[in-house]
Amino acid sequence: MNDISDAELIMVIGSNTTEQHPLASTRIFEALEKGAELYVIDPRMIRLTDFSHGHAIIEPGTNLPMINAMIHVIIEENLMDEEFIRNRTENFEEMKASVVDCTPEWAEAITHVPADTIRLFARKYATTDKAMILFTMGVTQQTTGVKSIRALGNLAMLTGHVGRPSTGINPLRGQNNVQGAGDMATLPDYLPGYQRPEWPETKDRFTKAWGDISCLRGNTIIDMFNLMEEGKMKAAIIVGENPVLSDPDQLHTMHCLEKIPFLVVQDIFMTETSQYADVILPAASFLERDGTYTNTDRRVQLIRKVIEPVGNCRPDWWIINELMKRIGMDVDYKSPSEIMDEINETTNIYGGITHERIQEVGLQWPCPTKDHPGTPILHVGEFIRGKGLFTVNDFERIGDQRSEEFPFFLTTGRVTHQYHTGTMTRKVWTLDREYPHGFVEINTKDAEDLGIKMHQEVRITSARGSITAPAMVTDRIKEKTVFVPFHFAESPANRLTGQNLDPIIKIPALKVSAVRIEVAQ
Amino acid sequence: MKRMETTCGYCGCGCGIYVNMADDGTMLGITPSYNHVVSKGKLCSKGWHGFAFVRDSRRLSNPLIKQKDGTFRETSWDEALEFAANGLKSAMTDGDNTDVIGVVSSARCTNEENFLMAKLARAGLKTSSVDHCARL
Repeated sequence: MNDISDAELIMVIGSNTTEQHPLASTRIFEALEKGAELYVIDPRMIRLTDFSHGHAIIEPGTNLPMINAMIHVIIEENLMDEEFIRNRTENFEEMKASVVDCTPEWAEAITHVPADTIRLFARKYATTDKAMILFTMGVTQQTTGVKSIRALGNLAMLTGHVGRPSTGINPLRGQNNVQGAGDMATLPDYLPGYQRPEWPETKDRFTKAWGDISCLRGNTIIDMFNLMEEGKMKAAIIVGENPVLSDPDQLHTMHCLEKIPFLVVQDIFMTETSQYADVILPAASFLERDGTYTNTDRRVQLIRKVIEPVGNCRPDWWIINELMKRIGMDVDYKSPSEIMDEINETTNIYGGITHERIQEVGLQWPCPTKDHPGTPILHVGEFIRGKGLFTVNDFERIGDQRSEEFPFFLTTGRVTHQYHTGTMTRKVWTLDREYPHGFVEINTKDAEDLGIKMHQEVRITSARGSITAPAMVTDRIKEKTVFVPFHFAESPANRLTGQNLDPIIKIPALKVSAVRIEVAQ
Repeated sequence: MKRMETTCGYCGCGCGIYVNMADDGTMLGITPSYNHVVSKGKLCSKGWHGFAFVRDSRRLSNPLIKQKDGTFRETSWDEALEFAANGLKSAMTDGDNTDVIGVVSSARCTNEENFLMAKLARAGLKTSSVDHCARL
């Protein structure tokens, strides 16, 4: 993250950094003070755009054509890093052929970003030595999310902006340990350390460590809920999640939870989801247990038990250990550090990360051995796969489109003072008073056309459902686009979002839903 | 007063914080860690204020089991864990349970806890359907 402050150009795509990653945004401001330039691609004017050198006010769901058009410009104007392409990449010619028709004018018609702005972004990015890209869910939560990230990979390789300090394409991870949860493979398509279930050595390694295992590509959360609805899924355990507010298509989610015959929920508060449980197990909060979190820099850091758990709460690791014993597994973990020992043995990238070594400062994985210093930058000298692969990412429209019935696009997001579904922050009065309820941002002109006044209650309706929230009339959002934060149970944005998934990794298109809006009756 | 260093539990930045406590263990507040590699002595509003939910009176403090009328009753850990384990176990088939049992873990949990959840799912419940909110 310290790399950000040394960058000479920062391109922020689909990340409201000051609100979601406040401390990462301080690095952007450090860079700006040192003379860096900032370019933002976002359908809303966010705090960062007040300080930016360029803002592409983009139509939701169209990052991909914007990026492809930038690649087109860089190739056409011969601004590539030819040595990098020759020595470290492959498949350039095919990628080049795929963007021949992606002119800035073509992209303007789709993205509503002026062709000259696209050219400016492309030229600035290509001709600045230390240029880095930051992105978050504004890129991934679209039906073309994976393609967009691959296209960003093309863009970075094309210009040699990879594997050096203050370059690269850098996802800012939303939740404290979303990186670590992925590393530890609470994912259906990996075992710990990103080992694919279908690799023979994965099965051998984990059968040896864990005994007989299920080693398939399993179902994602979204697919699990669909199996509940079909009546196939008989039992589930949900730990520290609130899918009723965080998952798309709320009414569908609630319906599925009603149908599942047996549900265990582990959480610190009663949530919208735990209401559906057959048994609720009260867990300790992050100040009441030991363990490690891995931050967006891949840095594994300790958390410490500062106070005893309130009431009869227990740390999640203790609860899971008890459940494991009671379903007949031969385990008995005494402490998180003992669990880390097993992680060291089975997960190469965490091989040398022990609690003992990170008492003072965290270590960045890959860190395969006990004397390895950790790895601050990935892909130095060589990509993990060897040569960097240019990919072909053609744009297609999948999922919600504007229509006569639903002429607006809804995009969802967060505000600084609240966190995810608000389970914790809405119970902290000094935070909750800043944004005590949900709202819908709507452009001044659209509000005038619809007769909507500031703070007036409005109804937003999609093909999935309908919610109400007070209007926030502002020029800081693109016309025919509305924004609703998803923290608030009384105005649940995810009642409106749908199950249009990215076909490759099945991330739902939470950032693009077609809706209509009217004064609430 | 004593203070203890730990890592903030909100976003993926992973800032270093000190929790200040009175001698009787009451939490008094948060101070940034001045030489922490990420936060360098700064914190956002959630970092400064976000700890207060820990002592909220609405915290769940005992295991709960749902009764026939839909309300929950408090119970002991032993009964709740036995009930939960039996419910999960009786859903298990003789073969693979990938389409039968779902395991949803959390980005709020530690690495160690997520590792155990992956192991519980794949080695215990014999299901590959284990996921968390990374997509959401």
